[in-house]
Amino acid sequence: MNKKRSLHLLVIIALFSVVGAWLPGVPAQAQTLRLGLSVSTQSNSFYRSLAQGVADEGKALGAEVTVLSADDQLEKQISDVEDLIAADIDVLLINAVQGEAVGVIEDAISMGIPVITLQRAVASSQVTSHLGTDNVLIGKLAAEWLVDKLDGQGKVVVLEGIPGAASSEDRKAGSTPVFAAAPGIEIVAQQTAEYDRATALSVMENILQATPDIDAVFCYNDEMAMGVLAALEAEGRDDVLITGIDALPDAVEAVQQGKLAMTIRIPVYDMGRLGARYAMEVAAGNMVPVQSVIPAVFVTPENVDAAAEPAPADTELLIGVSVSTQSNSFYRSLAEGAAAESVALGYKANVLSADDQLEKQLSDVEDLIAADIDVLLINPTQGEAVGVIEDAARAGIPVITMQRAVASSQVTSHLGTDNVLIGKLAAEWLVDKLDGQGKVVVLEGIPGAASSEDRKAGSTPVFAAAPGIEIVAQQTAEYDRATALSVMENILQATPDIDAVFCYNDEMAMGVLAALEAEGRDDVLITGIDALPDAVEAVQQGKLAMTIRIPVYDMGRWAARFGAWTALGEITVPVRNVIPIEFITP
Amino acid sequence: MLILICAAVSLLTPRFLTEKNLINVVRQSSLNGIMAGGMTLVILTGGIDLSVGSLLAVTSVFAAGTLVDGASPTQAILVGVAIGLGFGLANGLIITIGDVAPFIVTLGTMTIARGVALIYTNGAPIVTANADFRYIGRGSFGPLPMPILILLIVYVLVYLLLNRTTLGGYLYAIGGNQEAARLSGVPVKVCKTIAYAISGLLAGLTGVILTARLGSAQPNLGVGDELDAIAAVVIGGTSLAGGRGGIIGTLVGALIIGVLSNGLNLMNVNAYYQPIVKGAVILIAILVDRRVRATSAA
Amino acid sequence: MTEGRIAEESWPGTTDGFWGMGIVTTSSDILEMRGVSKCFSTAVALDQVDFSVRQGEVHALIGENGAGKSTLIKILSGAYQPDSGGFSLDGKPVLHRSPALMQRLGISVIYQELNLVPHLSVARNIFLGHEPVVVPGVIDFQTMHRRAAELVSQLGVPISTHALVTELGIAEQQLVEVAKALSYQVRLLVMDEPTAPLSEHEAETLFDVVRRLRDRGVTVIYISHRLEEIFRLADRVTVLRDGRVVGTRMVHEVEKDDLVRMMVGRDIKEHHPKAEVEPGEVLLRVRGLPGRDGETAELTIRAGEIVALAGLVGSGRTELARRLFGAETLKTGAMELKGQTIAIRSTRQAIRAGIGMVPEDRKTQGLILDRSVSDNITLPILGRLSRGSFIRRGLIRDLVSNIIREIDIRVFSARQAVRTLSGGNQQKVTLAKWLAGQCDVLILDEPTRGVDVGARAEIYQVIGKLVQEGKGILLISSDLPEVLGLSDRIIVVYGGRLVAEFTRRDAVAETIIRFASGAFED
Repeated sequence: MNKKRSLHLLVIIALFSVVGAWLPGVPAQAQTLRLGLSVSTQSNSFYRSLAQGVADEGKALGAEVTVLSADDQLEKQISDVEDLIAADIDVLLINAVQGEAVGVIEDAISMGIPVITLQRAVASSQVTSHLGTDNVLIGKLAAEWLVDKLDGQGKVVVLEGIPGAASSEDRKAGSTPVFAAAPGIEIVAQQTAEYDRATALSVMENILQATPDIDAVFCYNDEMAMGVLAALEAEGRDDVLITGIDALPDAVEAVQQGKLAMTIRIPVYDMGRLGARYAMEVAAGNMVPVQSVIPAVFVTPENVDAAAEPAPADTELLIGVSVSTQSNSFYRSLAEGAAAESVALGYKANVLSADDQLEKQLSDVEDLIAADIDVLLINPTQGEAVGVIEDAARAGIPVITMQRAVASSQVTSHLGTDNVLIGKLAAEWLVDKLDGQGKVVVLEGIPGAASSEDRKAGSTPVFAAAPGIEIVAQQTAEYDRATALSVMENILQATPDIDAVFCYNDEMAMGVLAALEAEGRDDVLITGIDALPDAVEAVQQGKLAMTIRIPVYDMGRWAARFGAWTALGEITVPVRNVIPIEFITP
Repeated sequence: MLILICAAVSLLTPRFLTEKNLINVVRQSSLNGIMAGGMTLVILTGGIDLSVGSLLAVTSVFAAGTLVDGASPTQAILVGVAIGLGFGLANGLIITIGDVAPFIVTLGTMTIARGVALIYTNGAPIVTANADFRYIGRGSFGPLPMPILILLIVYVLVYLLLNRTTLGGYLYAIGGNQEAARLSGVPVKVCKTIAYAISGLLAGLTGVILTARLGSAQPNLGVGDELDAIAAVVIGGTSLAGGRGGIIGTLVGALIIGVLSNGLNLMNVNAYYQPIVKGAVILIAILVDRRVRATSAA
Repeated sequence: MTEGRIAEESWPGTTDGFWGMGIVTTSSDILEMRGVSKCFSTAVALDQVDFSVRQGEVHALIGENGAGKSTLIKILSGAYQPDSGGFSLDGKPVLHRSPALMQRLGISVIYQELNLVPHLSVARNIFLGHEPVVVPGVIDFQTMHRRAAELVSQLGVPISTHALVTELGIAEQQLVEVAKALSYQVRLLVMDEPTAPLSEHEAETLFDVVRRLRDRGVTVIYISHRLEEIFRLADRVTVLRDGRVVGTRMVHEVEKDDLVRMMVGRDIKEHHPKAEVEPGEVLLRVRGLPGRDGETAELTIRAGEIVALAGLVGSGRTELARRLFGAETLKTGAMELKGQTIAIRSTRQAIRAGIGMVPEDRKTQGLILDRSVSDNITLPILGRLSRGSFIRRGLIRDLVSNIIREIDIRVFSARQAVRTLSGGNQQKVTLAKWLAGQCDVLILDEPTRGVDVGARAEIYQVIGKLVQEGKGILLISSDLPEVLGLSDRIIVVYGGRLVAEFTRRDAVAETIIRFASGAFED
């Protein structure tokens, strides 16, 4: 055991040196990078742990880390950030007090300092990356757990967090529908205790006066759960189930003693560490996911004593990569990124292509499992590839999905673009370009394909909301160049008077271009998505107005990193990652 | 049936019956039409050629590739057509000499051809800016767009082949009753091989024209196009069992498919409904044709 | 009336012979057709046909090919709907007709082309579509085989119910069809030329079966071209000509010649007109063929000579012929054509060398049914009828119309699909294919099988014409009188060997049968 642990340590050290090695932009010898962290509070062990993660990892990576705590006051956070900017930091990591911290964040960005938000997101499209939990999801999971525990019958008290705080509102949005949908659950009181232990104690005391007949207390965090516990213990009550969120050390201890029914552990220390890693990448000018969701784990009396994570002593990782196809430059680039990064990390990669056939992917994955891979990076042929993934998970192999998500709780991590977002951004770009006035043709992808439907969901409301934009034709050209050529020819017959063609991918944009060129038309704006080489060339020549590049190679690289980190049990990787996009225009 | 659909479409959208759109429809149908012309020969012998969609891609990328490498447009066209012919010939020889079912053989070459196209292009499109080359896809001969002109030439030749040459007679005979044809001294293997070779050649020609129209060649061109070609042949009244049918029907079949897509586009029909309309019209076309045929033949 | 009702109630399976042969009352009619007409485009297939069949009789239905027999059967089986008229069963009109319904009413038809699934067992074929089941969907094999064995034993022939149909001979397959009909409680069994593909011995077995069925109370409509069979088997006979009923007779009241006259509407000599031609030079000589007692034998055909290969079905006659024609590789024997040694590896080569063949099964081997008469006739010589590779359509038109006139193929037009012709006319088309070409040696494999008397005589005339032109004919036929009447020499084939040769003068039917049945080996 001891031997194993020291080996583990060695691996971590080795990995760190590797991590150091793949930061090409970091002139470690020339100048030390400075990371600034503004954390909402340090009086809360959750955020203390977050800050600790950033500080430890930043130092381990050779950076200088400055941590300032805002004591939950927006004004202090603003001045903290101003101080950090003045201290000439390279990257700002911020755990905002509230979503309204947006102003100060945009100040930093305008000074050329990239910003990574931690745990609390702010409504700014200029943030480089956000790492956090999905509180809607956490709220939902926690509520489901409680309803299940109560067998669907009982009187429940709900204690909310700080009113208006995103995490509290999100946990409310996730949990409220679950309770509402359970007919036997009665919410006897729903109050705020502002995420605070002392407040929770007094709020709970008051509630117990009003309605002593309760079965459970559902708290939006552990601090409040511990306050509730104190109130109940003072009354000599031990018949009430209490749930919290955050897995604070004393809450976990209370779970061990059977005093709390459940808490949810958010690997916040690792969130901090990841934040530091992202920051180093960003400082080096590399792509990082624009959004990463940190997973959540139930802590209950049944599993609280279970050992943390088994640490595989295997340093010779074999990384299995299964991509849907290699006949398409997009997915080939994805596979190449994954393979290149695996090798760069010092591991072996085995890449298989499924030729877009689910059956082939199934057998590919079986082959990879048989080859004893340590982690599977998979770009599923379709969302229905659940079985494939569960096969791997059953074999104890962590699975990371790339680009296409699969509805399975067995997936360790997913990296992909958000096509709704892409559709939205592309449509906004076009509306802006047209100054909100014009006749637009929309060419959709393969009907029913998730990417096409998502791009539609993202773009359609944008066009609908622009009063001057008229959609004169909306057709499918099945993502296909030749089909787009025919469809566009037909549309030109029906409605020659158009200003722009909005294509859900570049293949169709190129087909549209061919159709318009054949008619001698160069007065029509054409936009695509994917940044195919010939589309980029067409943009350069001014023939296409815009296309969107998805840094798919980098997506592959991140998948390989997450894969290796997971296989080594080295850090908790985000469960969901959104890859950023890039507009390419003349 | 074609007239019926045309009438329906022109009633529903005034844009349909314009000279420009009609030329547009025929031009669009011409690619499927040319490919279906070769398919007709193969199906008449009682066979099937699944490889044409992939041949389209492989000829397309090779034609574009040689053009980029500095060959003249004529050379590029010849390379494309020759590769189509080569694959078709291989299909025919494996089917006849190897005595393997056409479905399996052409399924094999379909996969191989797609792979060759991918390897050759490394998955990326090849852009061809050569104006002379693009003429055969985009240019016109008088008022007639080149694809339509080529379509007409191909159909006249195939018509003559089927109805005026010994080979044509032999193809019908083989499809009607291969054993009887053999016992009548028909060189069954040679004739079948020629049918597949012509199918490959016309798929190659289609690939070249499509490349010229698109201005680029891609390895994933023409996926599923073999089914459109087969549909055109069958809608045109040629029996999948072989021995019955003809090339004129195929032209009508290709036009029906073309007019349908065009009409649905002109009417801006929701993408989800288009496949239903297309499928339904194809089925109705075949059922009506069957009924008409049954009453007139019996 | 009373009698009819009793019959109805006691059916099927009764063996009482109460349907007296001499009693002619409509009440005992199991089937009565009234005024049935059927047209195909412009051709009238049936014209106001009245036809009735009595319970328990064997009723022969005869007529030249194209007389309307097949159409009549198909209307009876529910496959065709009549344009006008209808029929009643047991006095009750049958209004909605479909094959399934007719089968349920107890009408079964055994067509010339058997409807069996080759790779299923006898029992499964018999019960195909109405298998006994344990639970729906699961076949009760034990019961099925037991009941199948019962049905087969009723026929008095030993056939294993476990055997695959493909392992059986054609005669046994036919009996499986009969058993299948019995499994449907058949009351009226229609047999369309059942003996055409059978050897004489097999035909005898079939006659026994038919008589046994009749004794069990099954009514049989029996269609045949072989008049002698009718006299041996049938109680009554109905003659059809050109879609009309010429008449129905008690068999014991008519003579063979009467029937022939009724069928063709004129007197024809039914014997085989041998064209007297003096045989000339040797056209074809095949040496080293397997002969009797391990010796080798030689096959020669001279110009103007008809050589017959006699033997039972399966004796190797057809295989030998197919080898000569290059349809199968010649394993033994060197071939000499007009003194030149040749090796024939393909049919194409054979045709170029001057050999033609009319295969035994015109539908699957001889004709392309969906193509026109003209296309079929010119298929072997299309190359010669073209310039470059373009067909000379004028030349073809003239040639085809000459041939059609010459051998009297009855068609509306040369563009008519062969499928629409009657059997006799189809057979003439297969012959015409070789009239058009310049072949020296013509192999005719069963040229008159399934052909009516009138067309048969015309085919004999064509053969006579061919030998007069100096062609050599190799004739394969199971019809001994035909062999004896037509040929100059007769070679008997047994077990793939040429076991005996007779000249026309020496040939005696009994001797030939003795050799053909292998009796010489004792």
